[in-house]
Amino acid sequence: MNISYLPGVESAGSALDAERMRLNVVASNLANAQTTKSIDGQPYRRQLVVFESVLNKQLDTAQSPQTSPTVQVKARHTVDDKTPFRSVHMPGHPDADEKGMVLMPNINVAEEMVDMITASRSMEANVQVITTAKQMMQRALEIVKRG
Amino acid sequence: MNIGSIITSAAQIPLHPVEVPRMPASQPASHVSPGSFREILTQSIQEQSHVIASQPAGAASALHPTYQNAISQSSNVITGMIQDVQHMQNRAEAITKNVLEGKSESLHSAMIAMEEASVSFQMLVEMRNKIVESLQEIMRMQV
Amino acid sequence: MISAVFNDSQYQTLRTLMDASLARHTALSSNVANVNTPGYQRRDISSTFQTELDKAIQSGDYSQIKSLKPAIEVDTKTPSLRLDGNNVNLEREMVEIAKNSAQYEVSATLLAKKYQGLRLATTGRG
Repeated sequence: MNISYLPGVESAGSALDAERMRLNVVASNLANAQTTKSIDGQPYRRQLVVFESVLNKQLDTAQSPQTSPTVQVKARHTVDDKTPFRSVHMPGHPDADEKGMVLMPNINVAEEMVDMITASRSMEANVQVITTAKQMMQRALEIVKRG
Repeated sequence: MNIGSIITSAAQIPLHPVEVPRMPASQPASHVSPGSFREILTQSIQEQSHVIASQPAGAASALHPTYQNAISQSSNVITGMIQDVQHMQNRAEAITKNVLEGKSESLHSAMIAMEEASVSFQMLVEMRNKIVESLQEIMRMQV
Repeated sequence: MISAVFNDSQYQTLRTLMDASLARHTALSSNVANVNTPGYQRRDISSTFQTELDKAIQSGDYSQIKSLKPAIEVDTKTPSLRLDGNNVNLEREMVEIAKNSAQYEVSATLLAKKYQGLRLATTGRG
């Protein structure tokens, strides 16, 4: 049961999902900024989300002749950031090698913060889109108002 | 309510042969302002009732063809209008159904169609009221 | 014909504007949703539709205005200011959404007034 008369809600909703996923990945990256040994024995590798747009064409145009196509967005999958790990000189560290160097995760906290801000800005904007749509519809209903 | 039958039953009034002014033919598909619509209607009904009323009472009993003609003409015009209103109401229903079923995103189209149908129906009802009023007046004059 | 009452160029303009604003809102929403999608090109009302609408309004011919159907096109003219080829500017989209919804709402209110006026004119009361 999908309502069609709240325009733009589908794409906005998809964006909220996608950005939410990105925030999760950012949180995970930040939490593991110091993880020198993850499951595979290597330092934690930064994760990135890949966004993709999905054109929502009506499959059967005879069925839905009066709806505009919308472009939704999907966070398809997470990928590894291939930037090499940083080598930091920490002789006392349990994972230090003979030279006292430790391989640290390829995470830059400042970058993660920027990603987080971008994601939340996008979420705010998409919420605004939905609010505006609701407002427009309420006005449309008032066409039949008397007096 | 059959407006046609109200009008034809009013034709039972006996008359001398007389030239009855014609009702205006259906407006062509150009703009009619709502105020002028009312005036046109009122005016044409008044013209007809004045002519009818100015005849001496107790004339030949047969229904005069000219009078009959005028009545059936008005009846046609009104039937046309009824069909118009009916068509608009059907259209409003269809559009609203589409919106509720999710086949259309155009909520305002449904609202607009409903208002158009409603306003048109109101105009039709006003017209009927005016006709009934005028015919009642005619019948009073004849007695 | 009773429905001839609605053959008014101003009335039909309001209707067409509402159709256009609705279509535009979906396009702009898609843009906002895809502000962070690499390579995405923004969408908007087609410029040909815009010129046709202006022409029809100028002509004052109600049937011409009535027959217009809004079209959405991919906007390749706006340049991309980003590395990933995405040409969406979030601030601009939000401003356009605000303007667009204002147009929708104003048209709705004017249409409501029109119906109130029609009722008053035909019945002598509201």
